[in-house]
Amino acid sequence: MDETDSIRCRLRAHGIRETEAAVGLAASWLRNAARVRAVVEEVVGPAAGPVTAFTHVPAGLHGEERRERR
Amino acid sequence: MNAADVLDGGVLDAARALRERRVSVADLVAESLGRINAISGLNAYVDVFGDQALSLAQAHQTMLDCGYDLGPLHGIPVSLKDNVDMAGVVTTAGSAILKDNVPVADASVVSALKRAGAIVVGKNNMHEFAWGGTTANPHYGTAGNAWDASRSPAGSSGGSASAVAARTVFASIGTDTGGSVRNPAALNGVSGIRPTIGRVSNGGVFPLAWTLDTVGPIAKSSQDCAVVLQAVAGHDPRDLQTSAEPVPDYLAELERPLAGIRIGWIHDYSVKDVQPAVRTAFEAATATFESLGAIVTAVAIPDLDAIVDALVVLDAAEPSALHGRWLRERGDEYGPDVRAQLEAGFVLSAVDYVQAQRYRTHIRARFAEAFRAVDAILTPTLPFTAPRIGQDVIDIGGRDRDVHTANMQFTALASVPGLPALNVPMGFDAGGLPTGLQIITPAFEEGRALRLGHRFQMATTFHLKAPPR
Repeated sequence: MDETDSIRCRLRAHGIRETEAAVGLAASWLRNAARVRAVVEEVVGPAAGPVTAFTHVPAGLHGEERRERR
Repeated sequence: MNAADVLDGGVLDAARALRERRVSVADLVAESLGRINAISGLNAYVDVFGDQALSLAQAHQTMLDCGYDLGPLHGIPVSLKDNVDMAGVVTTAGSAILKDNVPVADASVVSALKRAGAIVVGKNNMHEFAWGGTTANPHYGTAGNAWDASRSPAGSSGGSASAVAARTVFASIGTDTGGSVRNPAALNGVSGIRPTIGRVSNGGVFPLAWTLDTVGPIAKSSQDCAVVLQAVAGHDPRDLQTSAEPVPDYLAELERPLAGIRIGWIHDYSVKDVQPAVRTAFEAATATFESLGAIVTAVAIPDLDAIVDALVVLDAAEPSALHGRWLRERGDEYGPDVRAQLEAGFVLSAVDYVQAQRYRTHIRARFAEAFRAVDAILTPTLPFTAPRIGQDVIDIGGRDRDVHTANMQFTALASVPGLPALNVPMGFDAGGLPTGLQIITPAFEEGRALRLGHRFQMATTFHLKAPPR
C-alpha cells in the first residue's frame, strides 16, 4: 500500500469521503507531524506533557520580569 | 474639524471631539456608513446595520448630552469579524453552513463593547470558518487589500483589517489562531494585537482551534488597540479559559518611557527568509527603538525549526474534530480549500496531536528563558508584502515559497506558546505596500507590547498613512 492509499484508508476510517486536494494536503501534514515528533523525541523529556493554559506559567513568562515592571 | 477628519484620526481625539461638540455621534456614524458604501468593491463587509446604527447614534448622543458618559468608546463606530456573535443578526463565520445562524445573545466581547458605548456598524468578511489566510471567501466574495484591491488582505480577519485601513471604522474585533489578526493588520498597514490566551473571552465566538484561539482588536494605532483591549479584556465565566489575572490600565502603561527596556531579535530567525524590503524596514525599526533608549540585542531561542510544523498540526487537528459531523453530512457546502483542509486533518493521529502539544510546552519554556534576557522580542509579522489575490507562491530572497506556509513563519512564534503579540506598521515596499513589525511579550504583558508599539508610532508616521481612496 503506498502513502496515498494509506491516507485514503485513514480518512475513510473516519467516514470522510476525501477530495483529491485533501490527500495531497494530508501527505504534507504528515511530514509536519514527523518533524514535530523528531524534535520532541530529541529534546523533550518524558516529564513534559501538554500545558495549554497560563494558569501555571513557568517563572519568567509572567513571574519576576513582570514584578520588575519593565 | 468635520466627521471625515475625526474618522481619519484616533479614538481619543474622536472622544474629545464628541465631548467638545465639534462633531456629533450621528455625523460620525453617517460618515462611517458612507465610507462603507464607498468601499463595497473591497468586500470588506458582509452585513451593515445602517438604520440601527443611526438610531443608536441618536440615543448615544442624548446620553452624552445628558452627562451619561461611558468612556472613550462612547459613540465610536466599530465592526466585528463575522464569527463574533451579535444578538439578532446573522453570524455566518464566513460559511454557507451557518448562513441562517442568528444568535440570541451577544458574544462577551460585544457585550463589553456595548457597555462601553461603541456602535457596531457592520460585520466583516473573513476566511470561511477562519480556516485560512486569504479571505478569498467562496460564499461572500473575495476581500481585497485596502492599498490595492487586486492584492490579498491576508486572513482570516481580512475584512476587518481592510475596513480599518480604509478608515470606515475606528476598530474591528478580529480573531487570531495562527496569525489571523496580525497578518491582515500587517498587509493592510494597521495595528492589531493577539492577546495572551485567556486574556479576552472567546465566549460567543465561533471557534477554529480551541487551544489556540484568541480575540483581539484591529485599529489604526497601538493606542486605539489599547482602548479597545481595555474594554474587552478580563475574566468571563462564559469562557473557562479566561484568566483571573487583573487587567492593567493599558493607556497608563503607554505613557511609560522606553529607556533601558531590553528588546531582542531572534538570532538566525528574525531576518531570515524575508523579502529585502521587509528586512530593510525591520532593521530601521530596531534602530528606531535604539534611538528611543531601548537596548536591542540578539537572542537565541533553540528548537524553533519545528514551530510552524507544530502550528500546522494543532491548527489542522482541532478544526477537523469540530467539523467532523458537518463534513460527513454537508461536505458540499464548504468551499474547496476549507473542505480539503478539514478532511486532511483526519489523517493526523492522537499521538501526532499530543506531540505537538508537548512541543508547545517545550517552546513555551524556551521563550521563558529568552524573556529572562529581554523584555520583548521583535520579528517582522510577515516575510513578504501583500501578494496578488490567488497567488500561492511568492519570491522571498530569490527563492519561491508557499504563501500559505510562509505566512506562519513569524506569527507561529506567539501562537504556539500562546503569548501576546502586536503588529504595527513598519514601512512600505517600493510598490507602496505596507510591512508589519511583530512585538512579542511575556504572557499578560499586552501593555508592554502596546507601549512599545505606541512609542514606535510616536517616532514614526507609517500608521498615519492611509491607502488611496
